[in-house]
This record gives sequence, structure tokens and C-alpha cells, in this order.
Amino acid sequence: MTKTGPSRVLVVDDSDTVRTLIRINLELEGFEVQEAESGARCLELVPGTDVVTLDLLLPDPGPGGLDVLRRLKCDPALGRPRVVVVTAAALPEDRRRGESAGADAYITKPFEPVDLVDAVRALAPPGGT
Amino acid sequence: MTPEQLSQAVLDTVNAAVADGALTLTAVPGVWPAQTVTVERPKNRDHGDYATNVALQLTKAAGMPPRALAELLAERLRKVEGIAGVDVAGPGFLNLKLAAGAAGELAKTIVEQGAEYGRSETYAAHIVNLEFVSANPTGPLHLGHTRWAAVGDALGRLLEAAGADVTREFYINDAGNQMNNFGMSLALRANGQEVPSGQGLYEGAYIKDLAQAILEEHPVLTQLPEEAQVEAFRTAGYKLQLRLQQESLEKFRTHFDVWFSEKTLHESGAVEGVADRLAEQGHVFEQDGAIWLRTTDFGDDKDRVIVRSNGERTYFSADCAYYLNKRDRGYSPCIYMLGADHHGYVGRLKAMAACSGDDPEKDIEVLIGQFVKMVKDGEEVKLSKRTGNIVTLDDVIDLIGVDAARYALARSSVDNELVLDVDLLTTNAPENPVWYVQYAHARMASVKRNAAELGFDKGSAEDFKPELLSHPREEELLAALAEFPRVVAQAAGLRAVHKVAHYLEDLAGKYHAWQSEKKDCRILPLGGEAPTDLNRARLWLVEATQTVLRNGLDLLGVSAPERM
Repeated sequence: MTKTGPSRVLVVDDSDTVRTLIRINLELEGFEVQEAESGARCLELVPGTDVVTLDLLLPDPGPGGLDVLRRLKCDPALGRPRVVVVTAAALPEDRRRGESAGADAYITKPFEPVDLVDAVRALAPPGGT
Repeated sequence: MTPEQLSQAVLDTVNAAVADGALTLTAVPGVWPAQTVTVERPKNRDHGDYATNVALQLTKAAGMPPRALAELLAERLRKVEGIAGVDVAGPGFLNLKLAAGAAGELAKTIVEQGAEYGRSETYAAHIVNLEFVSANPTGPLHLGHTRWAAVGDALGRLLEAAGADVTREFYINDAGNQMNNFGMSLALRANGQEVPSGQGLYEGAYIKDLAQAILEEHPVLTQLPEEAQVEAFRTAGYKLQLRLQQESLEKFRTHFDVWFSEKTLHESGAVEGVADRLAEQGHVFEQDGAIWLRTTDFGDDKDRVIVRSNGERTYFSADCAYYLNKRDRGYSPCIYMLGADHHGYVGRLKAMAACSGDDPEKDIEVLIGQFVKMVKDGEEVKLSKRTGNIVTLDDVIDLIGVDAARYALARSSVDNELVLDVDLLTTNAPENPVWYVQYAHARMASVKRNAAELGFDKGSAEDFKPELLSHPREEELLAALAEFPRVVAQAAGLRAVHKVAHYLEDLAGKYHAWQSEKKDCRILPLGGEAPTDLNRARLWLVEATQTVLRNGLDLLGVSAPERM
């Protein structure tokens, strides 16, 4: 069945400011945005989401960013959303780890909001599919 | 630094050179002494931020070649704070480059001045009487009246912003036979009769509604003798119709300070006294038993009768009495805003003013507004559910809304016929000019809200770093903002309300262009970083632009929404 309505994005980051910034920029482009401040909350909210923007350095207790990424990619019950990793882990080996865990795009902080929006748009157009 | 401040700096430089003996200026009428110096934005920005031809203008007064005078002034201007560079070009033009901070400083000036930014004292000595709409109190206001309601009210706001003391006046044509015809038409309808055609009576469907409303309030009127009925319906109908007109105008945000009754001119003897008053100036004569005003002395195409040979006063004599009354109340100029069918009035009204001893170029102005029509689905809207045969002001409000109607009517020169496209003016798209400007304002409000959500604002005035606003798009936007006071003063002087609308559309375009530079001109910070001084400086520019858009929309009587 074809999904209608705007594409849904779940923004996962423990920083209120970063979540707000991403939400503002995505909403301006027509995406429907939800926010989660932890990995556990992400797993609760994710069903029905098209794209997740995911911080890898999530607070304890609860699953870390890489664990969340693997579950998102492996657990069919979670809908297998596309994932844009947004992280301060900027070393080449960090990126390799993220990509091998299934990241569809990898953006390092500090990031240009326009680049993030472009990455999300490339995975799911704002008007839905 | 605003263009006005720069102009003042150039003038101060000239005066300082005179004061210390480096320059001697002799008086030249219209040139020196001067109160202002013109600085203009050059088309080619390689020539600096502003240019002035002051050296060319003063060459005769200074008795020296313009280029040498320009060199003398350039050397001094280079030392002025806020001016980063001065070049002498061509025969003696001075090209001025502002210091980066001086250009950006304008954003702070605008934000601090708020609603005052754009206002001036340019026309402070003018006590203006602005007469517009002036419909007969015998029916609803139509589309032509609506054009003047929007443009006249906006012109009043504009003149006030330019310092003039403005009285907005509505002349109620409540004397003359049309009022009797009105009373007769109402009485016929109240008695269940048809209004016959071809007798100058009022046949519109609204007459039936008016008659019904009057009867509901005064059910005994139809029991009066016939003649008394006409009189009673005339009085009650006048009162009711005038109130309906007033309500429609208030709903359209068009406010009048004075509702002037023509009848009072007759009752006070002012109309009767016109011939004697005008005779004092020597332009009145008698011929064939009638009394005439020799308006041909002042360019009218024929002389005008004031008193007919049967002793009856003409409409023109009431027009004279009204003008003289306005002048007695101290107004100059008296501005008349008339419909296209009054084109012939221009010559006679101006000549009449001249016959009264006034200066027709200064004391009276007659503006003519061309026709306006409305289209929907490609077809002209001709019929009103209220009147059956005309489109009323209330219909315009219902179909388009107050903001869109006012904006659309104000954005075209009254010299041109105008078509209001209902479909276009109710579309949320950039092709709709009112939406385009209002949306820009709402976007600015949204950016400020977004910044607040991220926990920052523009910061204090002391911490503002204007020199950071150095992107070419920011320079363009600042230059456009700097023009606003001049646009207001110029539009007021030319009675050209549409220039404000065109300016606002240009400004909104420059804002959108600035924000289309998504990375280079980003207002919000990078993800994962704290806001910088540049983010804050850009918020100053957002707020300055928002202030100017709001002030400009207010001049047109159009709202500036925070959200859309």
C-alpha cells in the first residue's frame, strides 16, 4: 500500500538544542518530525517512521547509539527506517563502524543544517512516497 | 548610517570648509545656502555605496572647477567616521564607500526606532484636508468608492508619516433633489409599490431592504400623509444609509475625522454668500440675469454660473462654498480625490481656487482615480447579491478580504484602470503580491521564534557587531532598508501610495534572496555549536527588515501577520 502524507522523521539526540535545530529545519522543508531524547524512547516511537536522525553518543542507562542503529536495521517490527547518523564521532573508524552497522548517511557535528536536510530528503522526500 | 545621516555628513563637511576659510560660497538661488545634499545609490556598486553630485552643484557658488571642489571635499570626507573611502569620478562626482560597521549599524537604528522608522518631518508645515469617497447617502458604497477608501486612507497615513497634519474628510452630498428622490423611492417600497423607471428614482434592490428596516423601527410612517411620508423616509433613510456606509468603511479600516454635510453649507448661508466672497477678488460678473465666475481667467474651458437667472444656486456654487470653508478652516493643500467620471472638475476647481485669490498649484489638488473592476474565474463580477446591479464595498470584503483588497487597490497607480483578480488575490502563492509581502513578514517572525526555541536572541545593542553583516546579500538588504524613509517622503509628495507597495515587494524579494543563500547566510547556528555573534547580528537584520515591512504595511492599512 502506498503511504500518503508527509514523510515522518524521528530525531534522536540527548541535546535539546540539537533536536530543536534539526526539527526546525526539517519542518521548514515539510517533514513531520518527532523527537526522542534517548535510545529507549527512540525504539518506542520509531514504528511508522521513514527516517531516523540518530546521535551515536546517547546517555546511559539504555541502549547506546550503535545498538539502536543495529536494532533499527535488523528488527522488522521496527519498520526498518532509513537512518542518518548525526554524531561528534568524526574519526574514520567511527564512520566505518556506523556504516557497517547500517547507517544510510553519516554526518559529523558541528553540522550544516542544510546538509542534514539534504541527506534526509535524499532518503525520503518530504511529501511522502 | 542612513542616507540622511550621510547627506548630513556631506553638508557638514561643506559647511566646515566654509567656516575655516578653505571654501568661499556665494549665494546662488536654489543652490546655496542649502538645507540638504542629495546622496544616491549608484547602479554600479563598484562606484561605492552612495554618490553625490554636490561638487557639480556648488561649482558656480564656489567659483572653482567641480573636480577641484570634489577633491577638496573628498579629502575632508575621508576623515569622517563611518566613511571608509571616497573617490572623485568623472567631472566631479564623489563616490562614497561606507565602513562595514556603518552600513550594518542601520539594523540597530531601525530596531531601536521601531514604528518611528520611516517617519519624517518633510511635510511638517502642511495642514492637509484629504477628501475622499464622498458618496451620496442614497445607496451602498461601490467598487469605485472602495478604490478611494483604500488609497485615500493610505495616503492619509503616508502624509502623516511624512509629518503633515491630515484631516480625512467625507463630504456628504445631502442637499439637492436626489435626497427627495431617495425619500420617494423608500416610501414607494414601504407601501409595497414598484419604483418606476426613468424618473430619477432609486430602483436598486437595496431600497426595498432599507424601507423594510425603517418600517421595522418606525411602523407608523406609512400611515402619514403622502408628502410627510416622503420627508420622513428621506430623513430616516439618510440616517440609516449613512450609518451603513460608516460601518462598511470602519470594517475596511478607513476612518474619517470629519463627516461634512453639504446641507450645512446651505443652512449657514455659505452657499448664498459665495458670489459676494468671490466678487472681492474681481472675477465675478453678471450676464443674462445670472451671476458667473470667470474661471476662464485661470485656464478653465468655460466660465461657470454661480447663481442662475431665477435666483437658484448651482451645484458649482456649493462646491465653491465648500472649498472656501476648507480654506477658512486653515487647510492647504485641500486634496480632492474624485472618480474618473469627474475628470472635468479638475480645471474648474483649480480655476475657482485661483478666482478666490488662492494659489491653485499650492492650495488645491485634484486627483482622479480611474475605473476598477473585479474578475473571478476569468469573468467580470458585475452583480451584487445586495444591490443587484453594482459590486459594493461589502462584497469586496466578502470576496477578497480587507488586507488583500486594500493592498491590491493601493499597489496600482490611480492613473491606471485596475482589475482585481479574486482568484489571484485569495491564493497562498508568491504570485499574489499581498501574500508575498505578508508571508515574508511571517517568515521573519518564525525565524525569531525558532531562535528563541534554541535559547538565543539578537542580544544587547552593546554586543551587536554590525561589521559582520558583510555578505553581498546583506549589503543589498541594508541598502534597501536605508531607502525606506526616502520612499515614504517621496510617495507622500507625489501622492503615490503604490510606490510604498512596490518598495515592500522589492524588500520582501531581497529578504527571500538573502535567505535563499542557505549556508552562507544561515541565521540559526550550526548543529552542535553555540550561536555566534554572526547569528545574532543576522537576527538584528531580520528584526530590522521585519520592522520596515510592518511599518510599510501599516501605511497601507494592511496587517503584518506573525504566522501564516
